[in-house]
Amino acid sequence: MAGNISRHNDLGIGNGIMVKIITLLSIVFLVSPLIILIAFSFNAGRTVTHWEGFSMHWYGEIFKDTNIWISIRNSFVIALVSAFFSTILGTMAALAVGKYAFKGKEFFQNILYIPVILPEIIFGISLLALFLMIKLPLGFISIICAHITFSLSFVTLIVLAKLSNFDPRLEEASLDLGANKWQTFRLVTFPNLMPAIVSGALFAFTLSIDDFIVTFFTAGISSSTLPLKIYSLIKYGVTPALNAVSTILIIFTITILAITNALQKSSKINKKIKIVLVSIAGVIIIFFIVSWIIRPEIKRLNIYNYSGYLSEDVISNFEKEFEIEITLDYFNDNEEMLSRLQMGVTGYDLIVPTGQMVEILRKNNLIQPIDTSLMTNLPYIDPRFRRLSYDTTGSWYIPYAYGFSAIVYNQDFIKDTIDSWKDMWNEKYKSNILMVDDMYEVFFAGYSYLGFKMDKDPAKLEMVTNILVRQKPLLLKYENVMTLDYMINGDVWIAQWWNGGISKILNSGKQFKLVIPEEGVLYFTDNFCIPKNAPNKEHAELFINYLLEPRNTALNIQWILYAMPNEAAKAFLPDSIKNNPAVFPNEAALNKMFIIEDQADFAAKYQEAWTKIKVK
Amino acid sequence: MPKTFKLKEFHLLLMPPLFWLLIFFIVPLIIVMVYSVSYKELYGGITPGFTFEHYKAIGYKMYLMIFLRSFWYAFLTTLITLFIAFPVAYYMAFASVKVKMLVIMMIVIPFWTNFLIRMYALMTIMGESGLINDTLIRLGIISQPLHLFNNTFSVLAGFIYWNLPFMILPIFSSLDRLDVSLLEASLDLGASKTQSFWHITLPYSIPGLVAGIIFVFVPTMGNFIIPEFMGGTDNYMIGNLITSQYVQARNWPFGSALSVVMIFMVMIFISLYLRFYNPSRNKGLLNY
Repeated sequence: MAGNISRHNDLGIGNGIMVKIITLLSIVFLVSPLIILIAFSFNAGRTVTHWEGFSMHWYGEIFKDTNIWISIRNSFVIALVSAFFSTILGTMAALAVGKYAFKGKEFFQNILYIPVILPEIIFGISLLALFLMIKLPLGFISIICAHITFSLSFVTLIVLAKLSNFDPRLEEASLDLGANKWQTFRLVTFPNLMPAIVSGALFAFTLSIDDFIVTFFTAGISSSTLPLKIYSLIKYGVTPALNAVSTILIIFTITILAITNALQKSSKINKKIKIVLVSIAGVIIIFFIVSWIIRPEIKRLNIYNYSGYLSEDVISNFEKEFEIEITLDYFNDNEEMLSRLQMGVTGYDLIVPTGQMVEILRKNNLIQPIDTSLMTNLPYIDPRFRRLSYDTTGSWYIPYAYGFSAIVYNQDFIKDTIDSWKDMWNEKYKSNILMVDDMYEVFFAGYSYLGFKMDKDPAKLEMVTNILVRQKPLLLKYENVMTLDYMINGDVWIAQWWNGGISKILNSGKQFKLVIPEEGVLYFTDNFCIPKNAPNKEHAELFINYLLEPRNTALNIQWILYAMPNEAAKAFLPDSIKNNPAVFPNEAALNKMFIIEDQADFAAKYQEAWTKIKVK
Repeated sequence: MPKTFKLKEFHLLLMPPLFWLLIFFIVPLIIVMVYSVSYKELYGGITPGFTFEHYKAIGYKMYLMIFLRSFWYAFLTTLITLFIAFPVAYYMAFASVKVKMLVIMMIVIPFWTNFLIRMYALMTIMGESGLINDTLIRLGIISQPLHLFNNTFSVLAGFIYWNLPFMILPIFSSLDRLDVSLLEASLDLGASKTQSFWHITLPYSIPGLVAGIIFVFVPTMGNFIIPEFMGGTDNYMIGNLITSQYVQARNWPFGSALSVVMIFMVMIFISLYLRFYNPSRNKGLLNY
């Protein structure tokens, strides 16, 4: 800790009542959310706001979740390696700057210090640009290089601070007494700098293990770190398990802090305690390195999909039957998936693009043909879905599921009849409306509002853009994932969403109603594709075939509540799903459905307009 | 010590970190600058060339608005945290040892807690069906949830919550180094408490203030997570725009141009920082 904390003050300074109140309130403001977060990690219920009794259930849950453990291990390995290198490089830089005068020193100092203050996003973007240019696949190497770069400067600053307190006469004395330069460094300089080097290393370790933004831009699928996992949990499904993960990370960080602090006051610390601390750290490090090296050769399958779009039962049955471990990674929309693949993120074995995205992926050489020779269950697929317009050869994709986006509303709040996309512009529902965060869906609603068809007319696009900008103040937000929670909690009254999600909302209460607007709805087919360079192509094909088995298809439909083009599966479905128009659209609804064609060069215009809408 | 005989090992010390920073820090920035004047391919990617179209596009009113908004949020956040943090740091600097240690701990723990976790913690409290709304509805005080969330209010609350420790600690570390006997002397010589504050305490806190302002303003400008999770439809910031150009729209040149403009916008702060943060003169900041 800085400064001297033992002085006494009897001047009555800093004793004003206002100062005390502000301090107290600030502490409550800073600390109480963390306490509540930790408390709810012990909640028996599923929510993070209603207390339903004490339970360690969620800790058990994350203990069983191998993906969380893998991400913790990844974080550790990355932090260890990057702390090791940044400490060495940072110390070298500190010695060079602190002990020598040289030409260009100021320039060197500037490029050393700027990383400390540069916004992380610039770091992330520029490193991403570098890795894209040299075609380094995003993964451990790229993350470690990035982490070394931003922690290096911090190590330098810490060591430099110590170095400026260091008396150069000690070195001179050593040299005078006959030691050579290396001996002087090893026996005089280095031991004196040791505490600073250790706290620099711990600092680098903590920075690395906590980093989200830079990692977000430089990570690939198999290299997911704990903060990335936390981000994905916040985005795709909040449960007390997230609180439990957070609690573990908080406790861990505090432990490291305590150790750093203890080491800084090293002179006061008992040698024995030091040895114990170092050996504990050593054991942990060895444990992680060993677990890294001897990690069993598990057969894997990495699926990149929308969240909640694949049955957990099917996944766990498949894992048991074939002893292949499935890792799920989620995207928000097709555009996000495309750009991740284009950036060279590798490791995915199976992706789920929508409709014309298959064609775009193929044109960009990002997917490979699927080997169907061993797919015994292929004949179950409705032949009408096998060779759709985006791939008439049918060899680049296997149809997965289909559905449409529509409106769902809560009759407790809305008494008017809802039958048109125009109702999403109703001033009365201000701040209680959700639209999906997907540009084509939102544009479709906009075109429908004005009575247009989606074509390549820039003038129409501009009018639609304006009408969507006008809608923005009425919306709570653009949301793809949490719509279910928002609707069930009564936080919003009306929402645009996809039919499978709407079915889940309908199942939770009689007050919810599905509307297929009179202007029509956008229809989609989602497909399985296998990316170029998929590491486990055979497992992906095995999984597709497994899923096409009618019983598994039925199990999956009951979970995702979207229709799959597999007539034989209907025999295994209960009537409540088979005859549910929210799952299997009926003829009347099918007549009102539209498909997005490939927009080719006009897609960029949509993208620009979408950015405009978001920005306005 | 004579300089000449150390030249060799100094090169050995200097070269590895210098090369590392050149390759992973300077070169990437240059690539971003090159991208920002290149053309965009149809489905993403870069076509080499030279154009200022992306910079011209930033000149459109709506993008300027985004920069202004980000600047405005960062400014408000800095100002509000400053006004909250100063009294806290002031109290800490003059409190008794026990109290001081306790308060430092209460601020250091959130300071070191992962940013995402802290944001999530705040979300579960302020969210639409978070603890505040939930409790108020259960107590029958309100029947409809208050719109505390997904708007400018919640975004600013998020920024303040995130940044408060980054403002308190540097100011505290400056004030803590203030020698109380200076204040004693000032009071003895007949200055009022207010005068002593303006002439002694405040000048002493300036290095900490500058550090706090830099360490709050710059990261706030570049943040995109808080607007994404805690904001509504009107809280898009530069960070979101840059991210979306890379992660969604696949318009790398435009995203790069935005990044370059952003670097220039934080240049003022970077030069301030380089002026004030010669680490051989300032040590306290990193010691928490």
